[in-house]
Amino acid sequence: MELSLVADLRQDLGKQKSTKLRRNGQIPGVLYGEGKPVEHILVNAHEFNRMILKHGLGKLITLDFQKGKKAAKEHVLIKECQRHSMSGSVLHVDFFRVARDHTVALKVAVHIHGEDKRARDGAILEVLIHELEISCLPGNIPDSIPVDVSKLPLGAGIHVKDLAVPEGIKILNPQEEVVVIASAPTVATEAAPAEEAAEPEVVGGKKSEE
Amino acid sequence: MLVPKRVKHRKVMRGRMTGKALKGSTLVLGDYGLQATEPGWITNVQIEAARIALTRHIKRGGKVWVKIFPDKPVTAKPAETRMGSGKGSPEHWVAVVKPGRVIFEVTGVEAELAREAIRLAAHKLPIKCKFIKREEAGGEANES
Repeated sequence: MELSLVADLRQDLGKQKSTKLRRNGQIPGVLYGEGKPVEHILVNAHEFNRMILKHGLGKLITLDFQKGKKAAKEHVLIKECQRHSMSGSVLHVDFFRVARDHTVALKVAVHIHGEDKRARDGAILEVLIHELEISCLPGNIPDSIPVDVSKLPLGAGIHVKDLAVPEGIKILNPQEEVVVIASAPTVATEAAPAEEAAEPEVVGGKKSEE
Repeated sequence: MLVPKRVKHRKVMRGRMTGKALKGSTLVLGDYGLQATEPGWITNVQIEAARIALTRHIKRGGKVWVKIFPDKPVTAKPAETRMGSGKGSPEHWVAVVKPGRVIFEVTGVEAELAREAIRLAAHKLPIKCKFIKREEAGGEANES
């Protein structure tokens, strides 16, 4: 499914102007790629947040905006989404132009399923890779890469090479990388009596005290 | 108790805690976490107390990561000592935490259990913190 987003070109550049835009419910962004000139744009924060909440970041988007007096359309992917480290709100978005016949590399979420069908051995499913880097045509971007853990025994893991991906999609992560592991659970242990910690060794320093 | 094995200097200056955490402000390993919302020094005793509170509430299952390390020595002068005659001796170790820093990460448990365990752990710390959970994944495209 292709998503569409309305954008406007912005003339107000810089930190203070961008802060004002964010206060007015807009997100500053930039559009580049495919050898075309860079455009500074802004998108509606509410619309953008709703879109990424529903569909994630790795989707092909059609960006509609007015360039001079004529309407322009660009097929883009989100290359980077800067967030506020505390509130998590989106501060800036990089849109990357893509041609529909050129392959792109992007990160796609891993979807773990079959957890309820596993034997009750008390194992903890530890997801070591939450996003896989894939290469495909922009039209073939999957929502997520499914990982079936229903037959995963305790102590074993699923590697990148074990994953079944649809045709036309290539995983770029190393084949031996572990995606998910069923590890033995940790049991809360009583804390050992606090022992007086020895003073750390000083690297290349004098041993003598004042 | 967390203590460095080797250090470059026995005593260091206090430093400043301005700005927000530039690194370690997102969940990397776990699905839930405890994020600092104000700056502060967290001692190794406080980290250990919080970790014990967290793991005790989870009881069985789940995995906990401590994402900070107390690598800064704090000195103190003995009680009833006159001022002067140099800096005091190292007393304890602290981790410098800035707003946004993820202190603990948890995985393998239900959201409600993780939330309660993290709330109990947060009460052992000298700073205000908040519960965070993993959001959407994916994105960051490149031309190949």
